[in-house]
Amino acid sequence: MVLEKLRSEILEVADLALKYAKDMSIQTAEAYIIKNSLTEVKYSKGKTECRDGMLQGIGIRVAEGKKVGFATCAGFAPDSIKSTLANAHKIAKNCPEDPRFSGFISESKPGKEGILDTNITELDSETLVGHLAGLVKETDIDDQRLVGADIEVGTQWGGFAVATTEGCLVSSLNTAHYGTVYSVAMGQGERSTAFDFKVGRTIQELSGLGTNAINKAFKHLGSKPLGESLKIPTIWEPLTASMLLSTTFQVGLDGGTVVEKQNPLMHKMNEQIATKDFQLNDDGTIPTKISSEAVDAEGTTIGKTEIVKDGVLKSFLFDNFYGPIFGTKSTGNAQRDEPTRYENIPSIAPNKLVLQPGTKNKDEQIAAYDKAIFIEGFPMGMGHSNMITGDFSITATNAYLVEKGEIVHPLKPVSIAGNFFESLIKIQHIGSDPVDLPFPLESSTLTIDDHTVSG
Amino acid sequence: MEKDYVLDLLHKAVDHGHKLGADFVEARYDDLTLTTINYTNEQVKESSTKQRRGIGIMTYINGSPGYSFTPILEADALKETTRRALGIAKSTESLLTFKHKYTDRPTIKDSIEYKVKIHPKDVEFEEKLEMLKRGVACAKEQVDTQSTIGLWGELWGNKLFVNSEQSEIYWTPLLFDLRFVAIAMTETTQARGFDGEGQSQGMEFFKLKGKDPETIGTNAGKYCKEQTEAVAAPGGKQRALVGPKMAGVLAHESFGHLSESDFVITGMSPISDRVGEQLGSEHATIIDEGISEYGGFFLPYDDQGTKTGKTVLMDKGMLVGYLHDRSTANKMNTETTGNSRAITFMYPSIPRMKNTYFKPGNLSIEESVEMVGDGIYAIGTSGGQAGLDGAFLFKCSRGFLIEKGEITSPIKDAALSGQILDFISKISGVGKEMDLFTSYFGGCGKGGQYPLPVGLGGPSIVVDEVLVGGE
Repeated sequence: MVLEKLRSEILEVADLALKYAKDMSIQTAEAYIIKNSLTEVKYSKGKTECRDGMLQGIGIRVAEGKKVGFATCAGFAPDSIKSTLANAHKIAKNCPEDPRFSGFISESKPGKEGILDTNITELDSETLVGHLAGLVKETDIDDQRLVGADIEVGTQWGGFAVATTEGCLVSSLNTAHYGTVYSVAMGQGERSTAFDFKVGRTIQELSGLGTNAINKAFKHLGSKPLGESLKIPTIWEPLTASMLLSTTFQVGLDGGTVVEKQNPLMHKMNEQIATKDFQLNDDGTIPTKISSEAVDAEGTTIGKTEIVKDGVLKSFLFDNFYGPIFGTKSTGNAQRDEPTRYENIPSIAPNKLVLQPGTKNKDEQIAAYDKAIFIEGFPMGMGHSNMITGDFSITATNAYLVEKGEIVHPLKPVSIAGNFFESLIKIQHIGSDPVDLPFPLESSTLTIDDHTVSG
Repeated sequence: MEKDYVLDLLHKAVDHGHKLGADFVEARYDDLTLTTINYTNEQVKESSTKQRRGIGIMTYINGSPGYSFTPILEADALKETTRRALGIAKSTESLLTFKHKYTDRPTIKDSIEYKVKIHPKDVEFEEKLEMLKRGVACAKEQVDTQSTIGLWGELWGNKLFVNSEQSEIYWTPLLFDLRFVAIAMTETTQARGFDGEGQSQGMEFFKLKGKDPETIGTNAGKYCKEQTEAVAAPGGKQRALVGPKMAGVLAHESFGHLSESDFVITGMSPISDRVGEQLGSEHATIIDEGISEYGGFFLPYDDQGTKTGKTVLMDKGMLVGYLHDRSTANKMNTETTGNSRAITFMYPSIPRMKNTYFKPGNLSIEESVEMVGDGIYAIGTSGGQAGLDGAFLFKCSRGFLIEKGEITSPIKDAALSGQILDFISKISGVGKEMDLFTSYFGGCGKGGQYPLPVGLGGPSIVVDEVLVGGE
């Protein structure tokens, strides 16, 4: 009920923006409206930080022929919408022509909306704080190794609407509930950090997150230096593997950078880019995923795109600007960057890249090697790699030495050097154990050969 | 929006908070305009103006904080926002052991309008686009580019603050950022060069020697050309000369965050309870300040209405202070340092940095290079990451080999990593040339609040050992 009322409101605002555009003799415009309730509570050793509010704003693109301007404002006040239209119009008039611009979308039929959980919209702050209290209790243990645990729980619900003067008027709603625990442990002067989290479109069972995060941090105490530099197989837990592949494909699949000649995979269409058992699809229609929407940020229907089949690159991802320039249509992958979304023009990003699982789980992959490195958590430096060359050199702070098929001991931070794109060809195992993660790509455990590990 | 009208709204929100039972209320108003021009491959990819206007209300009840916000500038909306802030503050009260308490402070009434000769808002779009075109043309003269990017960003506006102490503070943020990127193909890969200038200054800055778009664009082209000829950085532990940009990132990301009092007071930071200890070498002095003679970001007040000053964090290697908000300063029985900052009205203020930098020393570049002898010269950075355990990793996107006291071949991308306290203890010399900068494209990230404008920088730093991840 609350969500449908919100849908009506944002559609009305979208419609109103177009009416104002017409009144101001603006011929071509696109309005993106968002309204999201945000409630979050953070806790760290008896200190809290809370936020409870409603994000609302509008982003407007105006085209004057092939000249495009963009302006935004917070809130839906009529005067703000009008001045935003005027700003976007002024920018468009002053801007040089972009002959490649082919207009905003004319019509769209909303796709499948993900699960909407009314328990989230009805959740009051006392109940949410109750979820937090459960995790506080879990992390309040009598163990001197635990320095502390930072806990956060929260909800988000709301939606966005897109309207164009060409006749598009669509919306998409979402609900989310999450919890995270980040723990710091210390032993013999050495610090270790770890975390665990859960996020979904329905109310999540958060119990256990605190214990997991603490145990992971404890597990890494007593680390030893690797003491050498090796070319060796690396085994990546699903979370870490997802981070590696998300970084690779977020950049490599961007059709915009293909057009702008900045994409490392731009000459690889229909070529082998990964091992033969690598099957990857972009699917924004899975009802349980928080990334699933009925339409993308330009109003295009979201669907499913085959990306890699038997290791061969089959498609890039496009929005409504770059798709036609490349000679194709939008693949429904226009997104606007967080945290506000409305303040950003659309860019191209995966909806949800899903890697088809393989046959061996994490333990079976570890058991398959005489010597390897097992990597957990978030290595540092992944996002700052050279994505043009694909070369990466990252530091894994939660890595373990594997010998004779077993984890022997945790390692002091090791640097891992390799190349994102060469790694795809050097995958030795794709795991059977995918995990539900809020990442652009969800992977299972991966083993990759020939990374240089030093420490 | 009329200043008096907004001030009245803010006072009413504070009063309403008290009527509902709040012990203390802070009301903040942001009215910021952000302008972006993205000139990619000689086409305008984005030209935009963003109006970021709204009010945030922080309430405290029995020491428990709660925050809410609204873009609706009307009395009824403010009442609802205040009620929501207080509601969440009450909900968490039972979990709280750290009670937020402020040391009494007299009413502050201040108005600071930052004056520059040519304000970016008074310069037309065409002129800014022309700067991008000139810079890109210069970049292309240096190297056979496959692709170019020119970026212009500016942020300016008004901030108002009112609290239960009847303080009224008004100031005007301002910053610009001009950047160029050149990308070229080599036989085997692509090379990238980047240069830019971000400052809280007027457009007259670009008339200074070496700061004009042509020079910045030329540098981007030159640095790209260097990368086409780069050799792999030597891996393993190396002596290094770290340039001002990289030194700034280290001062901010790895040391600065550890000194933020929320991490300190909860014991999560490895430098908690270590004031008075010699944690670095005698050459390491690290400062955080609101308005710096070296440039960077202009920040006269933080978002709790505290006047910013100069905070010495490390003095000749000794830890001497942390970055405080009013609550942590009260708890630790010290002065607040003006470090409570929020990215926008949509977020509560939390301990964040201002302009953080290593204090300059007396070495010339030539002397520094000679000191290194054999190692690397890490100049440009594409950023990096640091953990609360003190571990860091930063990417060197532009650098050179140093061989026998001479700068020789350019090196490919390399990662510098280690433990920050270990790094600081191995600083053996500090240069005299300072570079303090801020940015519009990027900034500080913490607690989901990104990108917050901060300043960072330093002189060049000689370090006896850092782990280099090359090939």
